[in-house]
Amino acid sequence: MNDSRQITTLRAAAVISSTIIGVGLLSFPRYMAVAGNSAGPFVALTGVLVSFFSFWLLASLCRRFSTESLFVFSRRLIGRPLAMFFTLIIWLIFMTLTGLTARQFGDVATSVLFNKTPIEATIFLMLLICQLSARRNIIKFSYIHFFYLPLIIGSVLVTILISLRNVDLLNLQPVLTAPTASFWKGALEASYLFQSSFVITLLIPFMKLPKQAVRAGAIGIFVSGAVYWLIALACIGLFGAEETKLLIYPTLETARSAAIGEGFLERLDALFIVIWVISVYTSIYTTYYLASYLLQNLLGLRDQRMTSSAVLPFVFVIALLPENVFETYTWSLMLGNVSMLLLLGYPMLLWAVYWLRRSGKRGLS
Amino acid sequence: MNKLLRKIGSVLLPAAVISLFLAGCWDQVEIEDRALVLGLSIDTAPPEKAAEEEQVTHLKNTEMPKEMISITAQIAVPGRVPLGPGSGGSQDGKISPVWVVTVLGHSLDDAMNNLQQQIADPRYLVHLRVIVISQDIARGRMDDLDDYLRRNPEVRRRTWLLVSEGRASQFMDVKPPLQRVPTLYVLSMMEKAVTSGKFPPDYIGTYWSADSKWGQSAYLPYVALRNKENILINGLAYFSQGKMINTTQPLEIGAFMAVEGMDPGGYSTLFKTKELGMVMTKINERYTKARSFIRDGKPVLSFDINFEGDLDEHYNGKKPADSTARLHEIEREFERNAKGVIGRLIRQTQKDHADIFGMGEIIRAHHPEYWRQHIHNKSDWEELYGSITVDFNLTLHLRRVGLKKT
Repeated sequence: MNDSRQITTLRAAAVISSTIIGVGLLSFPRYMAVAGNSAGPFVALTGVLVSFFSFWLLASLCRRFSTESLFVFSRRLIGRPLAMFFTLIIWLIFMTLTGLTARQFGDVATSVLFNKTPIEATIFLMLLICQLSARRNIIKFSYIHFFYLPLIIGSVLVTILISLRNVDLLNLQPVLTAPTASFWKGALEASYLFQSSFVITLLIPFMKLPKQAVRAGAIGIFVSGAVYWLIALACIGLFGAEETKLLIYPTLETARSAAIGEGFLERLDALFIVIWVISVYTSIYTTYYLASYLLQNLLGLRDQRMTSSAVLPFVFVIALLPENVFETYTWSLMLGNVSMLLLLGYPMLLWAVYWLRRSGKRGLS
Repeated sequence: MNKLLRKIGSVLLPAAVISLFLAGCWDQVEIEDRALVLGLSIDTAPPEKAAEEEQVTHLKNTEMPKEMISITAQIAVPGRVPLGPGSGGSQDGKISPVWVVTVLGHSLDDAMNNLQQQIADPRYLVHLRVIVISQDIARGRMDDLDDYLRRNPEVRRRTWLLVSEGRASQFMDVKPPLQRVPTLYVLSMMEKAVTSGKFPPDYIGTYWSADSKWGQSAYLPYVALRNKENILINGLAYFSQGKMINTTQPLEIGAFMAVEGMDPGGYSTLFKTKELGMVMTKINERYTKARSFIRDGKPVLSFDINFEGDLDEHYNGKKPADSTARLHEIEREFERNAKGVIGRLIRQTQKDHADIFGMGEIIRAHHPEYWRQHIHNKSDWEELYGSITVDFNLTLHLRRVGLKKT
């Protein structure tokens, strides 16, 4: 038993961080600018807090069942059929999320990097790599994330720091905005990016100190939240809110206009895209892993090796479903809405049952 | 037997898989096979020219807008663009490192497609550094350009967009002696103007950002050709309602940079003083503090402009410039003089409803309540800008006088 508990708190935090930093990085500032104009970074901050709340709800529940994953103990709490039903829905969500993320990745790669490479090839290769690495166990999974995280955060920070030199503070004022409907919409959209912090449910049974699950999530969410916040700050500060709204990938444009030493080193976008591909890989890897793990759970298999292969064609088809870029975005937002409801609602339901049962037991004894 | 087969298989299979990765890149294009566009100029063309246009993106009988543009592209000829210092070979003077092609079109993309139809190698805009447009284009139809260049992932935001006096295509033909590739000369000229404080870093990205902001109007470098070879930075071409409306004098670039507080200072001013004769001062540093108020329901802006400078030239004077008091005298005279220049520039832009200083952005940032009530789009602010009050104070500190004591 002790052997399997190998994931330290820091490593769990790294998994969550590198999962969250992903494909949304490129278009994130646009959503923030639309929601809050110059107060975009403030909207992002609110989004981080919202997502931390929903994470806390889930993680503090899982912490109480530190030897089992969510899908196992939920069967005892609300009964097998209902638990299976919810697991099925969560599985569908992560299947779709994996597909749409891979599609967004393919869209960016085709329009910016490889004009002639068919998008199917880009998407398929990305998914294939995820499939191959998803055959590993959860310990190796956490090591892979831990290995890539410094690369991702380091290079993103370098890009941001270079562009911060050219930030016009006027673009970021007024800093605050009235909490209007569009403000909350933006904050929720920001929190969608953090939904894959759900992966903590897989990690808890393997953590050295499961009691620190919430702390690991807090570190993970706030580190990645800081990255997103800084990106929004740099983009809106550099271009102004109105221009940021016009650009489809504002973060990429920031990297493209960054230069060290007046043209000595230009076009950092090439470097940035390479790192971005890695960050997309780590997030698709997580959602893919979740999808295959959930399928294994549904079918009652021993491990996720076989299901990881079974998932591949379906995810690939989902990735090819959207008609165009705009459809990909609307679908992603819709998916975000649905999983927001579920990831808030399901833990709340479990909490309610948990308290009911506990008080029931106390009443009996 | 079976064992042997498995052994062979275990060697062959990885080899087969690895060989897949040896195929190289799907998108690879050798650098010799690319037509790298280094510079681009865009002019208007008369509507009659439509008859001469090739039917590449549309046929003659389709309905098209009347306006035509003519673009001239400077394409790098592979192998002839010199890398590093020239060896003084005999070829250098004769063979041009660039190929200049002119095509017609209705829009920029249309013209680019016509261009592609005429050259063998696929064109790439990744190394496009300078775009020169003529005044007619700037005054008429910027949205086509803005759209195509923003949309194209090959175009950098650090490209220079210049507005030319006269035809823009002349700039593609200059053969300056300082650089062998003409557009690289224009580029290094603009870059050096930025580092020496002669011009603000106004790349195409800066121009787009200003164009999108509600509280600011965009401006571009205004250049002219002198003696067929020399390129002169002739002022700022500024925009209102998305169209170029007027230009400034070169000295007014300095005035503009002073109001913005852009460092380093680069302009020198020659003026006549009452008792000290002719004086030239050189500005080394500029620092500006902007404040804003709402007075009687109208925005008021006040700028505190500070200069640090040196005495550069002094002649024809009755008195020597040899004491603090004399320097102060010069400073006051300069301030009076510069106030006139800056005041004139601000009044001119107000008359043209072009807020190149971004004063609206200051109001938006510091008085969001007022902004939300009164400004609902960009033209609201440009309209209001004409009637706001702008105060400014100037202070010059002369620190050094050079190597001559009097």
